[in-house]
This record gives sequence, C-alpha cells and structure tokens, in this order.
Amino acid sequence: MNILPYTAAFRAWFHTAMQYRVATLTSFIARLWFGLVYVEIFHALYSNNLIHQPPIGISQAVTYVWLQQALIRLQPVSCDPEVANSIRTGTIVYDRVRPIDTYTLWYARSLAKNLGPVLIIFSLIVLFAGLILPAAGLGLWGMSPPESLSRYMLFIISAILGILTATALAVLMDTLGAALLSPAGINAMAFTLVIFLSGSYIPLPLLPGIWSTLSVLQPLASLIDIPSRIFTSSATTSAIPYLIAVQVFWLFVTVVLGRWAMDRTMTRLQIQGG
Amino acid sequence: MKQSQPYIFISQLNKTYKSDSDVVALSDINLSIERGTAVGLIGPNGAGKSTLIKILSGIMRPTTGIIEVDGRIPYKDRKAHVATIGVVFGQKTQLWWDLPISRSFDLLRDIYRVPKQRFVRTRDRLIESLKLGSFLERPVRQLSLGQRMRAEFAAALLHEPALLILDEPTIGLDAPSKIAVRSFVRDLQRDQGVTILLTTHDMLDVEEIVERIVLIGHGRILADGPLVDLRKRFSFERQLDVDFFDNAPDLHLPDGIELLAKTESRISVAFDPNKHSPTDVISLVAAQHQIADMRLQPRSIEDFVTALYEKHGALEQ
Repeated sequence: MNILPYTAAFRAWFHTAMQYRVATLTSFIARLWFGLVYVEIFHALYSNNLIHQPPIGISQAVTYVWLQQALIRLQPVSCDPEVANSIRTGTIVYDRVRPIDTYTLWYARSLAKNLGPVLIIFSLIVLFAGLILPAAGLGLWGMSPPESLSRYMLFIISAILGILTATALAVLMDTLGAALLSPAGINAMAFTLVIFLSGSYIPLPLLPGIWSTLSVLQPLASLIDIPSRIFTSSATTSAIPYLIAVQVFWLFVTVVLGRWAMDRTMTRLQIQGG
Repeated sequence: MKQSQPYIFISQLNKTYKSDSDVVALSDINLSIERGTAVGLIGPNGAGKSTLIKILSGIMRPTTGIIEVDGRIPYKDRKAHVATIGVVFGQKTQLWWDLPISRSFDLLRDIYRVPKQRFVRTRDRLIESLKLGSFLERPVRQLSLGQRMRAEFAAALLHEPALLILDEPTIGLDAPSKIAVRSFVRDLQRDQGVTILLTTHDMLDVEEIVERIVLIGHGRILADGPLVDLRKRFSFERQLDVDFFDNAPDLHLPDGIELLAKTESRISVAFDPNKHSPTDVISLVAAQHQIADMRLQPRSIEDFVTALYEKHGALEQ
C-alpha cells in the first residue's frame, strides 16, 4: 500500500489541529487543576488510612494521577464533530470519491487531530509535575520517574499502543455515529463508560480485589491504565509482557472491528439530498 | 463477435431505499453515453437525479441492474473508478476548510498520486483559466461562493479525469460566475474531450453546456435526446413579458396563449412557439399600446419539466 496519500492527509490535519493552540493550553490548565485536586484527595485518603491495604503506595498513586491527566485527551468520549457534520451536510461523499481507503483516511485524520494536543499536554504536565514541583520542594505532590530506563522504554511502547488503540476506538465511534446518522446516542453512552473503564476516574489498580486484575483485560485499559501501571511500577516486571500483549490484542481487534463496521456502513449508507 | 461498449453503460438499473415503506428512487434506467459527450440530467427535486449521480460516482450501489463506466463497475471497483472521475457538488465543498487552497491542491496531488511535473502543468493551467491566482493562499472559509466554486472546479480536475460529474454546479452563483463556469465547462468538453454529466435546475446551464438531455421523473427516464429535438417534441414554451407606459390593457387571448400574470403595467404570457409565432403574440399583446420594455425568454426548467410531465401523464392514460 502506498502510504503517501495518508501521510499527506495526516500532515494537513495535524497542521490544522495545531492552529488551535489556545484551546490546547486551556485544556492543559484544566488538567493541572484536576491533577492538583486529585493529588490532594489521595494525600487525605492515604494519610488517614481510608484505603484498606492500598495495593499501590501514595507516590505511585500521585504519579498515576498525573499520567491520567497527561493522557486524558486520548479517550474517545465523543464522535468527531467533523464526521457528524459531514453526515449532516452530505460532504461525506467526497471521502468516498477519493481513490483511497476510507478507513485509513479516517484513522489518519483522527490520529492527526489528537496526537498534537496529547503530546503538548503530556509534555507540559511532565514538565510541571515531574520537574517544577520537585524542584520547588513539593516532591510529594509531583511525579516520580520510573524505577529503570527499561521501564521508561516499555512505558513509551505501551503509550504508543495506547494512542493507536485510542485512535481505532475513535474511528469505530465515528463510524457508528455515521451509521446511526447522529452521534448523540454514541456520545451519551461513551462518555461515562470510557471515563470509568480507561482509569481516568478511579485508578484501576485501586479497584477492589480481583477487579483490579480483571480491569486490565478490557480494551480501554490500554489507553491510560496499562501505560500508567508500567510507569509507576504498579505492574511487576514479569507482568509487563502480558500487559503489552493485551494491548496488541485489543489494537488488532479494534482495527478489524472498525474496518468491518466501516465496510458495512459505507455499503448501506444512503446519502440523501442534492 | 465482441461489440464495443459505450463509455457509460447502464441497463435495467433499479434503486430502492429500504425504510418503513420502500421508496423507489430509480426504476428501469437504461442509458448509454459515448466518451466526450456532455449530457444534462434534468428533473424536479426528488426525481432520482442525485441517486443516479451517486451510483455513477461509486458511492452507492444499485439494488439491481447493470452499470459500467469505462468497463468498470463503479461500486465494486470503487478506487480504480473514482481515480478516473472528478466531481463537483454545488452545495458541498471538497476543499479543506481551514487550509489555503494551494495546500488543498497539494493534498489532492498526493491523494491521486499525480506525478509532480504533470501536476504543476495542470495546476498552473487551471489557476490561469479559472483565475485563482489572487486568492490561492487564502483559506477556503475566507472565500466568496464564486471564488470557492472556481477552486472546487480546479480541485476536481487536478488529476485530469476522463469524466466530470457536476451536481448543480452553478447553484447560488452570481451571473458573472455562472457565465465563467459555463464557458469553462464547455471548453473542457470541446478542447479536451472530457465527458460531462451535469444536473441543474438552471435552463441556461443546459443550453450553454449540454448536447443531450436526459429527463428524469419519478425515478424513470421520461425523455432522452438532443436539446433541439426535445424542444420540438415537447413544445418548449416561451414566456413573453411586456411593460406598458400606461395601464396594461385587458386582453382576450386565443387558445394556446396562457396569461401568467398581470400587474398594473405588466403582462406576462406563455405560448408554444411551434403553434403561435412570436411575432403574432407580440403584436397581439402589444397592439395599439405604447411599450416601455419587452422580454422574450424560455420558460423556467420547472415549467418545462411540468409540461413534460403533463404530456407523459397524458401518454400513459
């Protein structure tokens, strides 16, 4: 497959997304605020022994919170308004008259739109919580680095898999939005489900008993939870290969499912109007 | 013995939209179009024109029937098919809203994998003939409709398609832009042999651009032939508007001349030029009165189509 059309589309959308720098900055400030509030809450919970035999220590919990905030933009919580709009206006016909694969085109678009903001927010959070807070003597409130360089590397691999799976899920949602001709239902359902299952509401390692272990098996854990478990050493070194295998599995499943849904939707799509 | 097949070949094509009650959008469509011709698809809203256009573009599949364009089945061989066609939908944009036009063009070059030299040659020619030079670096959202449509035409032609599909390309345009678009499309067909398929509600688009009209109504082809023939066959009505210096006179019109409107100083009538010569009608309406202004023009496409329907309704009974 010649990838030039897709990389060109990726560059164009990436460039467009980067025009909304103020929105990204605002989003960063919101993440910062929520991060500080969560860190405060966890300090209160831990120092008053309100969590029974916590499976992760306070510094792990605080680091996990910051990673949550840094990666939160990855979550597909709503259909791309551009897709919804192209369904409403019929502009989607232009996606279908290009001699390229529509799934890959949508994937490139989704990745391009989210990658820039995610990387910017991630870097700023790490800068703030990983460097500025400890340097200011507020280490208890800041992120702790991974225990080894190899863990750092594995975190990066895991985060990339997370980004790729998040994109596949986003395209799947866009496709379902297109199939239903309106994203409203999908958006309403996705929001609660995704926020909870990706571990951005309660850190999944803190779920009680067996649920903590089972929670890594569902696809949304791949986005924030698994990379964060690897980063914070909440996952043992011997568990990492299994966690990454789970991520690869879900990436494969979400892409196959997304392609199938796309084919079905596009053959059935009845584009109305002039 | 193998017969050579026309460029576009459609046989017994049907399309039914499945819903609570099935809607028949196209019914038993048979159509052959030779390479290099300019064909106008006309018919009222909801007649099935857009459905046919979408099936021809490979976007939708027919329920039953045969469709081939240049030997390919559009909906089965979508990618190969769409690489050879260009489309302009008058009410939609294919340019990237936030990007300068020149970036949209570069992106289309990569999407269609147009070789660099050929791209530069085609692009520069289109920029010149469509006069895009002054706003090439502006994002689409800042353009006027006329500028945008000219850019849309360029975007549809950068990969030098053999077939250009135009779905109401002049809708909403001002008069100079309409004239520019029409002469551009005409040159494209005459000089470069591009096959043109046009849908429109604007009779002047049809008169200026196409050689052959296919009239669609209720999902069927009601008439198909050269514009001149159709006019003869279906008594293509004319409308005469006359403005008087004084009050418009009361008239007794003979059969076949229909009073469309009468205001204080204006009278509008419709007539069939095959039955009443324009000279007779003018002298009848204007007789003995001082005329301030006068206009003789074809009646609107809607009237034309309505007249055709009436004829067909009569034929079917």
